[in-house]
Amino acid sequence: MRSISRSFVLVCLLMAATTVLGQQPGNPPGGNRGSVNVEMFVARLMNFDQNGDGRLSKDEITDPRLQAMLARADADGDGTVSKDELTEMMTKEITARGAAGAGGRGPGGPRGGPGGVGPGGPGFEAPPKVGQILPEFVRDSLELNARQKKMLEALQADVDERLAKILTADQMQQVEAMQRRGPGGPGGPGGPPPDGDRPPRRPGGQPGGPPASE
Amino acid sequence: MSMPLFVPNRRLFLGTLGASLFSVRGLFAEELLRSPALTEGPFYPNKMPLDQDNDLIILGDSTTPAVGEITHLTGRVLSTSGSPVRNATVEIWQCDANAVYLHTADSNRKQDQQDKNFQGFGRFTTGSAGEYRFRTIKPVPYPGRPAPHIHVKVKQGERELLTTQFMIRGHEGNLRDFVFQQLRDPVDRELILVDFKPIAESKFGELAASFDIVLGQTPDEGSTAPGRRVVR
Repeated sequence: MRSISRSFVLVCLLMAATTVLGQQPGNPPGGNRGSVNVEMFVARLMNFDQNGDGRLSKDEITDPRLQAMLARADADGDGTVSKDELTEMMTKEITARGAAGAGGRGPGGPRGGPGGVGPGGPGFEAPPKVGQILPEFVRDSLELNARQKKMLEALQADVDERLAKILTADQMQQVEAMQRRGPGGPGGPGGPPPDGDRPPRRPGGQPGGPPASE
Repeated sequence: MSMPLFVPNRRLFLGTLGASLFSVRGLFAEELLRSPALTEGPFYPNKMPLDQDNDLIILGDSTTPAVGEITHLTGRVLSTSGSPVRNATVEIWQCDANAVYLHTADSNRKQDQQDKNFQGFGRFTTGSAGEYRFRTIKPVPYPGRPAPHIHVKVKQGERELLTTQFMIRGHEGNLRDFVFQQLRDPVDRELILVDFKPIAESKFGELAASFDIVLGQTPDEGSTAPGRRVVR
C-alpha cells in the first residue's frame, strides 16, 4: 500500500518534472501535453491544404468560422499561413490558456496553500477543494451570518484535522499534488467529475442553514 | 442506439468518415469542422415551461420583458459537407440575468432572485435552409462558471444529435472556465465562441449573435436539403 502511494507520488513528480523541462521558463503547468497536442491540432488544420504546398490560403479554408484564427496566425501578413506560423500561434494560445487558468486564481489563492480558504476572489470555478465542506461560491451565495461562519470554520477545522489523521503523509501529499494540477490539467483531479454548471453539491433547499441533515 | 445499415447520402457519409480520419492529409477533407460537444450540465429544464417558443424575452401573453441585454441569436444547422440540415430542433437554455436557471434545483433556492419574466428555455425547428433564430438575453456568468454561456441541444425527433454550449468571444471569464478548458484544441474553442455585436439601428442596444452549428453525426435520411451546398 505504502509503496503504491509512493510510486504514485513518484509518477506525479516525474510528470511535474516533464512539465518543467518540456517548457520554456515561466510557462505554467498544465500545458505539458501542449507540444504533443499542438502537432495534432496543426495537422487537423493542415488538412485543409488542398494543393499540398504546406501553406494554408484563405480559399483553402472552407470553414468560414476559422478565417479569424487564420488571420491571427498570419504573422508575416502575406495572406497565407505556414505550418510554422500555425504552430507558433497554437502554442501561444494554449500557453495563454494555461497561464490564465493558473493566474485567474490570483497569487497565493485558495488552491495553492493548504487551508488557504481565502474568501471572495474569482477562484470558485474549480472543483471544490478536497475535504472542503462548503465551496466558496456556495458559502457566498448562502450569505451566512457571523455565527454560522464561525461554526462552519470550526467544523472545517475539525474535518481537516480528522482527515489528516486518516490519511498518511504520502496520501496528503498526493491530494495536494492533485489539487495543484487543477482543472487546467488533463481530466482534472480524481474528485467529483466536473460535469457542468456546478450547482452546490448539496443544494439543500435551505439557504442560510448550516449543513443540515435531511 | 442503432447504426444505419444503409447510408443514402454518400457525401455525408464520406464527410463523417473524414472527421475520424482528420489526421490523414487531404483524404476526405471536410469543408466544415464539426461543432465540438460540451457537457449538458445539470440544468436542462426539469419542468418544461408552458411557453417554449423561440422568444425567451416575452413569456406567454405577458407584456413585461425579461431583464438583460436583448440578443437576436441566429444561425444555421449544417452538415460537415455544408448542407443545411432541415427538420432539426434546436433547443437552448440559459440562466436569467440574475443567474437563475429554469430548473427547480436552482430556482427553488433563488426564488427572490429569479427573473420571472425570462423564459429560460426555447426551441426552434429548422426549415430547408437549416436556419434557426431566437430572441434571448446575452448570457451572464453563473456561480462556478465564469464563462457566460448558452446551452444548446440539437435533436431530430427524439434523437439527440449534439449537445454543446456557446460562449462569448473575448470574454475574460472563458479562460478560467473549466468547461471551456475542456476544449484543448484552440480550433475547437474557436468553434463554440460567438460574437455579440450591437445592432446599429436598434434604439434599445439590442445585440446580434450569429452562430452556425455543424453536425458530425449523419442526420436522418432526407433531412438535408439536396443541392443546397453552402460554399462561401
